[in-house]
This record gives sequence, C-alpha cells and structure tokens, in this order.
Amino acid sequence: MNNSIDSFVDLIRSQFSERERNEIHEHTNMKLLKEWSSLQTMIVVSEIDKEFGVVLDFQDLKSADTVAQLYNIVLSKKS
Amino acid sequence: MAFFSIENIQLNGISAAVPKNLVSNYTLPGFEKEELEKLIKTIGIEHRRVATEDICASDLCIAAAEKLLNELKWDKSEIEVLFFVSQTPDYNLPGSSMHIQERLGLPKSCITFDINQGCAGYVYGLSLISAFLSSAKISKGLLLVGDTITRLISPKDNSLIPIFSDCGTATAVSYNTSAKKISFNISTEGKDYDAIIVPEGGARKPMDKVSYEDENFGNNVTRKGFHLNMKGLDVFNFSLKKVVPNVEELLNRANQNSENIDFFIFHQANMLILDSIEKKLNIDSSKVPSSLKDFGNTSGATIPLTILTNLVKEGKVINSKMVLSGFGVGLSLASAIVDFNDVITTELIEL
Repeated sequence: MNNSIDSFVDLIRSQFSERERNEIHEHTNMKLLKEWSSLQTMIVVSEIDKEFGVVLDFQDLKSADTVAQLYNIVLSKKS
Repeated sequence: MAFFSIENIQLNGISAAVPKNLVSNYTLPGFEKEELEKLIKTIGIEHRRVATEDICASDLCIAAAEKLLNELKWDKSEIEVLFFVSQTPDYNLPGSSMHIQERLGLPKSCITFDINQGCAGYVYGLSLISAFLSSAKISKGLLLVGDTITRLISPKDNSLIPIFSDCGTATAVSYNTSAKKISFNISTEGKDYDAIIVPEGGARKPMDKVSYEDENFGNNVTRKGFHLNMKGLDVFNFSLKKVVPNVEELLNRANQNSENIDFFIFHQANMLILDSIEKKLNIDSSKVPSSLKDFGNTSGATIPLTILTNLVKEGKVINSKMVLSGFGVGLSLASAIVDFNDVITTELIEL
C-alpha cells in the first residue's frame, strides 16, 4: 500500500459497511459517522498498524476528527 | 524485562471446569443485528460461560483439581504447595487458598498462596510455583488459576459483557531432574495500573452510598463504582505494541526461533488482537489455537483452557514445545517456553 491520502481514505472506507463507506472522504468527521464506536476505533487502529506499522493511542484519536487529520498523525508518527 | 529459566520442573497434568450456564452473544440485548454480527466477527466470541451466583472461581478450580488428582492418582498428602491465582477470591480476606487447602483435603503442611493476577496470571503463576518447587526441591504442587470475572461486570456494560466468561483450571507440577528447563520473560507496566480496574471496594476507596449509583458513559455503558472498568484502547495498544517484542526476546534469549515452536498459546483477549499478534510474529495460524469462539475471554484461565480444548490426543496434551503468553491487568505481560511431555488431561468439567 502506498502512503497517499487517497489510499488512506480507501483504507478507512474499507473498515465500514457499504452503506456508510460512500460517505467517507478526506474531510469527513469520522466521529459523526453512525458506525463510529469503540469497537470501530480498535478496528481502525488495528488496520493502520498492519498497513503503516503505527499504533495510534487514545490521544491521537482524540485530537483527530477528520480522516485527513488522522492521516497526518499517522505520517508524523511513522517518520 | 525479567528473563530467567527454571530447571527440573515437570508439568504432569491440566484440567478445567466451566459453568454449564451457556450464554450466546447472538441474543445479546441492546445491539442492532448488523452491529452484533460485526462485533461477534471482530472479537471472535459466539458463546460464553457465566457462573451463577452460587459458583465461585474456587469452586471451579477445586472441581478441576479433584478430577485431575484422581486421574493422576496422586496422593494428596504428597502435595506441599498450592498457588491460587485469581481476581475473584471468595472473600477479601482470608485468601481463598487456605480454604481450598482444606476443601481439597490437602495436608496442613501444604503451603498456600493467593496471587492477585489476571490475564497474565497463568504464566506468572507457573513461574512462581516452578521457582518454589525448584529451589526448595519440593516434589509436588498444584497451580489453580481461575476467575468468575463476569461477576465484576456491570449488567449494563455492553462494552465488556460480550467478551468475558468464567473458568477455573488446575495444573499439576512436580520436581523432576530429567525435565527440560522452562524459560520465562516477564514484565509489569505499573504506570497503567488503572487501565483495567475495579476502582471501588478496596482499602483505597471503600464502598459508600455513591458506589451503588449508576454512572452512564454513553454507548450502552453504565457502571457502578465497584464494577470492572477497562480502558479498551489503552489495553488494545499495550497488546499490539508489547506482546510481540516480549515473545521475540524470549525466543532469542532462550536460543529458540518460531520454527522450533509447535504451538503458540496466547491469552484469548479477542480475535482482533490475536490476529494482529499472529501476523506480526509471522507464524502460521495452524500453530495458534483459540478457544474464543465457544468460551470467550476467561481471564487467567484462557491458556490452559485453550490447550485443553484444542491440543489433546488420547487423554494427553500433544507432546510439543509451546510458547505460552499472557497479557492484561497490571498491565502485566508474561511469556514462557514450555515442553509438554506426557501431560495428562481430563474431560472438560461443567458445573
């Protein structure tokens, strides 16, 4: 997987149901999604760990609302 | 991390008892159908065993121990040490191990210990009883590990109810100079002591009227002060970050590699964590058995329960070299390399 924002958005999308997937874009506030929950958070953290080797913590998730903000945190932690 | 090896310790037998009360996650209230299906798929838990009010962890462990001792034909008078590892003792005091000694009919000369440990408790307990037997050259000991952890969970906490389950186990251990050494790698991260906690009811914060008041945390999570509280993401992070390096260091320092290991038995936290650990260690899933589907997360009992429900042939654990790895409350982390050689088992007991 490459490190582009588009790939990251696709990664996040793929963790949601088809119904909600289409609503997810770069600037979507993930916390307003119907399926966003503590379980969904762990699924997303797990997938990001698998793809980027970065384990996000509570503070990271608290400070990121949008997919793009989360992407920037992942990139900064990866470097 | 504390790495050490203990010589002359033989595992002789393993048994387990679960409550017969089976609860299905498919009929959990408070979830939408799709949400429930996703939850079950992610955590890998379909059914759980929940102890009724009349069953304590000590009862489950005693049932497991009685059947195991009978199967092994051990003379109870020869058992000189007993460890009971649990977070759900019968009473705040005395420790449960004393009463277990009496209930099992063990001799007064049998030393007993209560160890307050959870998900890493089996490996912690194994290290303690092994060290005790090996250094004191005591011939026979019993390690009882079990919890009725569901007792600590709020009936209105949909974040924990689908995960936890109850079980008691017994492991018979003896001093044997021809046994292969057991290597351990154990660590504790006390800064995260409150990542999994029952905050009230101890000496730090005794129960008062407020302890009985419901606090609503949203998302179908309501708890009282004396209920189990878990910072899920913190525990998840700990599992993703710390388990693999612990196991890798254990293998390196014991001059082993994952190819030499027949089976990896991890604490059955949930399937998301197990899958992640398996992939990070790059081990074949056939080497990583699980008991999550039918028994859920039984706290410290998951490792022996997983062995019993997956790796038994003709009444014995399949002769093999295993890595056992537990992680959780504390936060604690403990892994061991153990050679299973003619380890007797019993049928799973239902109480």
